[in-house]
Amino acid sequence: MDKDIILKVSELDLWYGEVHALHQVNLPIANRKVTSLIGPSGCGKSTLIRCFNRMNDLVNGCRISGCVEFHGENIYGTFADPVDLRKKIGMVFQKPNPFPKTIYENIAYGPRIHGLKDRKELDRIVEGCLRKAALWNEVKDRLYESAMGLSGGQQQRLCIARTLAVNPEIILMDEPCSALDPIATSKIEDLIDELKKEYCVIIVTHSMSQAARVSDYTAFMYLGDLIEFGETRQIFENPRKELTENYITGRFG
Amino acid sequence: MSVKIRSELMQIHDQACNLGNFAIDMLQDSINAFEQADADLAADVCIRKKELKIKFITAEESMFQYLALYQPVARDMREIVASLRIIYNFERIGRMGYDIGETIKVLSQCCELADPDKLIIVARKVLTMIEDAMEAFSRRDVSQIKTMRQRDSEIDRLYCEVMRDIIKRMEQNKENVSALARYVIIDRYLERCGDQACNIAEMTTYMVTGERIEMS
Repeated sequence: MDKDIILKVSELDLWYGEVHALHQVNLPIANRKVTSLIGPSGCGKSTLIRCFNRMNDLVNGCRISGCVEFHGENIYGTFADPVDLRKKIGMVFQKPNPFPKTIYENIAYGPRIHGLKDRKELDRIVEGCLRKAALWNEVKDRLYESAMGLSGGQQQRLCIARTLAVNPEIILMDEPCSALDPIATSKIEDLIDELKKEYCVIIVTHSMSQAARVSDYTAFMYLGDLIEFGETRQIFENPRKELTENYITGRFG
Repeated sequence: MSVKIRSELMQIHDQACNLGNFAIDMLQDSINAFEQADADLAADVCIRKKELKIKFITAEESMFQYLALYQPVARDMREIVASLRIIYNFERIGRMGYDIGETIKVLSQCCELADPDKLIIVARKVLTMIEDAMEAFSRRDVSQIKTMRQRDSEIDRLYCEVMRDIIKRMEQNKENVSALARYVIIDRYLERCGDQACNIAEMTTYMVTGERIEMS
């Protein structure tokens, strides 16, 4: 795994004011693999995933120490540019949040604000991203209709397509299926499996079975500590830590 | 819900242990019937075959349902998967008891028993192996089954030794061939029972520790 680490978290601590939310987290993230972060509410998994594209910079009183290296460079270093970083490390949230614009404009928006004006090139990107997000066949005849008219599952895939439009390397997903029905969830999971051929995917999920189904690696967190990290099949067949075992088998608390 | 799920898992474990004890009793009684030339006891063992099957199917169905309803992981998954394999081993052991019982019934009708001592020694050793494997599974404790591989090697050696001895006796005493031919069959059944003990030990080790080791 070592040779293909795209993101390396070392001795990461995070405080929200006085609250010490992450404790000395060390975690390697492999490229073109899916890594899931699991753990009970408040364990720090969403806080951790938000560190990967510096979303926590926007939180008042948030302090970070330690290092998150993307391709070997510390994203919290002096010369790091958060805007540029978020192009490379995109994010999909729990609730689908399309822009109140057409389907086409949702995808074209990112490339446009990064200076792309060529219509043919934009058309190519829109089609390519919608295809990658397994949405093209469902929306190709209504690209200029409002994205708000799509179903929840389609909106979430549109948000994934929007993330792909600026050519990222890592896609962060924070509980991307928690607002979706089982069929839409299944489509997103199939999509994640496709996406990992080209991208690194990191997903926060409360669903043990989803983590088991979609991810290659799993990290279990508890009260701000990374308790166990390993191959998903090892974690779900024979976890090394009792705390992990108790959590994934529902013996917690 | 986790309390309900755990309680169901305990019930399934009890069901599997119940099947195991039932099967071991069948084997033990068939060995006793052999040792004491007791055709009635052998017949009694044979009658239990139907109940063995019912217990096996009931336990198996509970395990399938548990898998379908709860999709267990980690130690729960290992317990169910191991138990599914182990109840199959238990059923085989009970069936061997039945097969030995049937053989004794035929033996008692057609010929005199001729010096079964060496076979009885093998039988007692195999029975102890199975009881230890059963105990390990029942208590989820692998300490007693660590030497199972060596014990199975001893059974394999004794199996060959008894076989050679029987063949020699057949050559020397043609009148006993009919009985001794059936000794060969019983010898083979016992050797297979030793393999079943190893299978139970392997799966119990996986269930408890997560390690896959080969014992036979």
